[in-house]
Amino acid sequence: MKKSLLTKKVSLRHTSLNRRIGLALIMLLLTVGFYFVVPKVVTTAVTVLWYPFDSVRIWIAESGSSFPQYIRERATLIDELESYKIKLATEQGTENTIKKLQIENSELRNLTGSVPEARILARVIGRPGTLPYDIVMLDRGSNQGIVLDAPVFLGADQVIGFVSKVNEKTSFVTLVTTPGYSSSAYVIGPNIYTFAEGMGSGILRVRVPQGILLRTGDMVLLPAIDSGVFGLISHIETSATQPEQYGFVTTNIPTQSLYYVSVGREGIIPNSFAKADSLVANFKKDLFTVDVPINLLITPETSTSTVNSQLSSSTPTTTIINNN
Amino acid sequence: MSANFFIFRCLIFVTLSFTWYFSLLVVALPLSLWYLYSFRAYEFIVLGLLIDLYFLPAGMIPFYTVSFSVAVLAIELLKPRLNTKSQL
Repeated sequence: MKKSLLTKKVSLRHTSLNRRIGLALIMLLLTVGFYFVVPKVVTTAVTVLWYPFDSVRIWIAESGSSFPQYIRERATLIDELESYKIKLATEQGTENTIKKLQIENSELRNLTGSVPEARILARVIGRPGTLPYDIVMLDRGSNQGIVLDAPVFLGADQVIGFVSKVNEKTSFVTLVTTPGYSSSAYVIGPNIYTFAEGMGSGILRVRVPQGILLRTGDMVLLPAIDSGVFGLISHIETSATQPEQYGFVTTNIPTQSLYYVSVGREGIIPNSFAKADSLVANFKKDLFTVDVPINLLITPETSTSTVNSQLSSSTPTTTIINNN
Repeated sequence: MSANFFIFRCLIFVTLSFTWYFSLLVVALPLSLWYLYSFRAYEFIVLGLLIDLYFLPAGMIPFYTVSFSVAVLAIELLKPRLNTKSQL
């Protein structure tokens, strides 16, 4: 009798222990499941809810139907007119202003041809002012190969931000100028590294101590990213009573006039300081050089080049074969 | 709540969502104020949440959720006082 009671007690203890372990395992599995599944479910639900609105935006931005085309052309014309008015008011409508605007326009149109193979061309369908936050919406998404954290370029090498969210057919770009974002910057002129902070509406602010000579027109680079040109200092705010001065940096094309951008195919891999420094040094070397076609370039043949060519033809070359 | 009233309210809310989605502040702000004053508009908090979940860049304050919540609560608190004044 005693024996059977003892065995019963032991087996009961075992079952309660097993139950507890089982419950703990189930709880653990549920927690892990929630951790991985819930964010995805929420993201999908939110994307589905906003999908009709996205479709309307894409329809207005891209459709060939007469109504959206009318809205688009009207908006473009109003924007263009406004920009002309501002330019005329600020620079008194000189011929140079008009020429500059024409060049900017043609650059924008030529952008499609200037995209390297490694990038994806995307149309801007939402800009700061037409979106709830200071971000840019593109008409390309994961279906077209857009990946998260890919750099977004304006023209050949002007970095304006990175892809912060990817949907199937659309994606969002967080700009370098989005408020709350800061980046390392290099100012050509005083030749200093500093921090740049986003101010919104396509404006970046560099903050430097008094005594450093900042000038309007100084170029600002973002060396954290390859070919990280950003723009020029367009305005300086300085006061003798304050220990610091501010330089406001803008790109040559305002955010409101962004129509096409190119997106890198891979995410940003931030440069180390040594690489960033060499990038800045190389950029400064290239400031006065232009890629002139060989048939248009007239240079006398120097003796060194002849000697070099002779040397290169006479010296045996080593070829490294990579078996991988 | 009649079915017609429900449909009317839904239509206004969709219009409001549209104006906030396209950032048409000139329309969105007065329409939202009127909506908040006319109805008990707790769905506004959901709208703010949806906007932030879709558009908010990482690391930033969910501005729309916070401001919509504050607006809803503030107007709900102010409503009785405003109504008493209008009755007087």
